[in-house]
Amino acid sequence: MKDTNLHEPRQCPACGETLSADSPQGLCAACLMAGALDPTFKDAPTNSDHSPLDSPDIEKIRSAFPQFEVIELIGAGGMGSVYKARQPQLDRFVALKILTVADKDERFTERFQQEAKTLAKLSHPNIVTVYDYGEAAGLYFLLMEFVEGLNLHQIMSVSRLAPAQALAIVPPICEALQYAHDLGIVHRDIKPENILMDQAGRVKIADFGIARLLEDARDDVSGGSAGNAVPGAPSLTQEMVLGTPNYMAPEQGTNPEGVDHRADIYSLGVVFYEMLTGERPGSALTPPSQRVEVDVRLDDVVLRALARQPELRFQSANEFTRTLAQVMTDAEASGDLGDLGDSIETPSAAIPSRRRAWITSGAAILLTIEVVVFRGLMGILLMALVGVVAYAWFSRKPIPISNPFSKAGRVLLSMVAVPVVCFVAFTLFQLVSGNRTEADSLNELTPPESRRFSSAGQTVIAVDDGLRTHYVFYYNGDITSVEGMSQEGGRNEPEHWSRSGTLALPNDIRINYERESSNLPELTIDGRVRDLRKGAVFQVNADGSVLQRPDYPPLIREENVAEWLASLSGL
Amino acid sequence: MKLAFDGRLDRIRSILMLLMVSRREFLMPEFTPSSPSGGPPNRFSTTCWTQVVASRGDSSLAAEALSELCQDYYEAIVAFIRYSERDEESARDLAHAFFAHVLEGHAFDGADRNRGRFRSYLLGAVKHFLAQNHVKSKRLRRGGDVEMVGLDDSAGELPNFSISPDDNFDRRWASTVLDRALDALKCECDDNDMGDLFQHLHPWLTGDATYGSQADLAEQIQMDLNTLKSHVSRLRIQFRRCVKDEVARTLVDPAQTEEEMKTLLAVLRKK
Repeated sequence: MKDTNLHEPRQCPACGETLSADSPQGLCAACLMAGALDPTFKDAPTNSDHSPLDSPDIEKIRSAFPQFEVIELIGAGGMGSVYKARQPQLDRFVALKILTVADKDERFTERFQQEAKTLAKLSHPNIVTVYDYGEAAGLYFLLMEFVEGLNLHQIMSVSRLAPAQALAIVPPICEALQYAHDLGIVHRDIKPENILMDQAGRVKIADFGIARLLEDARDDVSGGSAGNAVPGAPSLTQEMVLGTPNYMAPEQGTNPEGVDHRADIYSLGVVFYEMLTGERPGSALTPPSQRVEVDVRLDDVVLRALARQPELRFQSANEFTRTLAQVMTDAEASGDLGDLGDSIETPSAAIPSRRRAWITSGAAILLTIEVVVFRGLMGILLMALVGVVAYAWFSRKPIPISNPFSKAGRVLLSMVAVPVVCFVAFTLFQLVSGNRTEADSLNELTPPESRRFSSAGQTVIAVDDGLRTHYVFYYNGDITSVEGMSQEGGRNEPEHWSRSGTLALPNDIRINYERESSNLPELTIDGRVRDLRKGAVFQVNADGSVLQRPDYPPLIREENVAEWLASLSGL
Repeated sequence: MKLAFDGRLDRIRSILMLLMVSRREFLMPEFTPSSPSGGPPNRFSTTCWTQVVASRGDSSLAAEALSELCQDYYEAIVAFIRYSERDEESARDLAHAFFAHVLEGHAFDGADRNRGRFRSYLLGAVKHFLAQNHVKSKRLRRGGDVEMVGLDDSAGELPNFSISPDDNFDRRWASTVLDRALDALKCECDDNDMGDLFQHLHPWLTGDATYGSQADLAEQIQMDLNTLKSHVSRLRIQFRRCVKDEVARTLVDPAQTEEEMKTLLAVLRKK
């Protein structure tokens, strides 16, 4: 193959996507990852005892299902592999699930048909619909609705959900569970991977009842028809149990026969807990509110769903969702919606958005009023206090009867004149002291208040042109950036910030750096030498402290500017 | 004075210009990102996220291990920060500051170390750092609505605004994983005197029949087609292992490796 092939195509020849500049070694990242995940290239079979059975080769699937256009493998797990396919007659995408069955026999076939029929009866907006089922070329398959989107596990691994999002996801799941439970179908494997979110944000539960189906297959193998079992072949359900024990209700491990719909409630409790806290509950069940900031009232809901004994849990999915709704109504009534999460696209099931907005804006108005009134009142009170003190001072002697106006005069003097004089004096003092601070600071430059000035060995040249301080950041002898700060009000406010440009110093001296931005006129210090009032070199020491370097004396006057700038070349 | 100064001035100017050549090296002296094209093998660091988690941040070793991991995923961090920064270099500066923060050992204070994925953990830490940084320096005011015009064309890669910063972070992360896996694989091949073969065959790691005909290549390098095919498939198995090793490094529970790979694939495929 020609080497040029490697670098020329800016599009991936496999998937047609345009390759970005960061493609690993010029190859399409998605196809590489897909290649690494390709089950045909599973690791050497050293560990096969515990690895899921290999997914069938896609070619095999294509030949087994000529009626579909099998596009790609979209998921593989202990229970089977799922392929995305297109059904040309109906022009729709479907998900083709090939069940991984270790031991196929008549009993399994029979049971599979029974179960699949039941599953196909499930018709609910929040349950992935089963279109068809059957066996083709020795493969047991379920043809299902294709959900374009991500599963909850993928979503949670990318970002933590806001409590409001978690609260929005639970009710539709409960609804779907209640619907299925009413039909006597228990999911048995509720976990984030089985909760899909389509692009419209709808929640859909996948793989209903499949755990049960395969469990029965396991029972067949270990039970009556054990003769058919291949010795040493890993049982699927063992694999599955090993894979997701964290979501399983305790009784699923100890008493599998007694498992009923309340197992799903437990699993949903684990998912809910994980959505709220980002983690699954540990052996010591820490209430969610102790881990993250959520309303304590949610603790009760979560902990009840997670009760070890089924009798103590919610007895139905409806009860779960009712209790949750009650908690949300209570929280809404008490106004502390914040704990339930900020308004991130709260769905209709959660808090009505109009009411929430009303509460929020109301709070904002109250806050503003409080600040204004409080500050104003404080000023008035302070001045009044001054007045009262002044009045008390003037009233040391009793008011002579001969001069009745003196009382009014005293009141006027103490209540009005003295506070006004105090106010004026205070303002003047502030102005004067402010000026003095500025005058003092003429001899001193401050190091930049930038987080980027924090690594040992970093150096900054600070130059003051009388208006603002320009900081030239050096690192290992090269300029990394330039910042300008105005010192108005005693605060360092970043005014311009650039990686590059031309810092023109007086005497036509320029410190050039990589790029120039013509839109930052303040970067060009167009002054004369006398405008350049200060200059200093700061350095971050090994212990993180910032010191002015003594070998670069502060630049103050025109006389030493040349010397100072020359010494900079040693930086 | 001006006359006396001019000669010196030229000297200063030339020295300053000389100092201003390449940037990346000096920007990250302690955190040189692993270069994909055959740099020194710092890419084979064996530090794992588990080590950091296990140490609970008590020792300086933990900080070192952490910064080593961060260094490996440097590009993803820069890519994320790039969204809030005006240009590539300022993003690198800020990333640099973040690493300094990490090395000091308190960048991850308050973060929950029990988290299983280094990826999520690091992204959280960067976000936290940026938020603090934003408050501190009011970064938004810098430049404000001023349009930046670069003198040269290398204004740095613009962030891809069609995807979210988080997704972009994950994408860059995935690319780094694959890059490092490819590097590791290449080194393995080099060790077995199969470096040339790797060069010829590695495009097929992206799938079958994507980069021309294997028969043509077999002829070109005078190798039996079946032998070549078996080499390709062996290479893919090895590559899979390399990717898994790299991904497992960033996880507490190695059993989640495949899930993590699938998550990364999903992000890469996301439009």
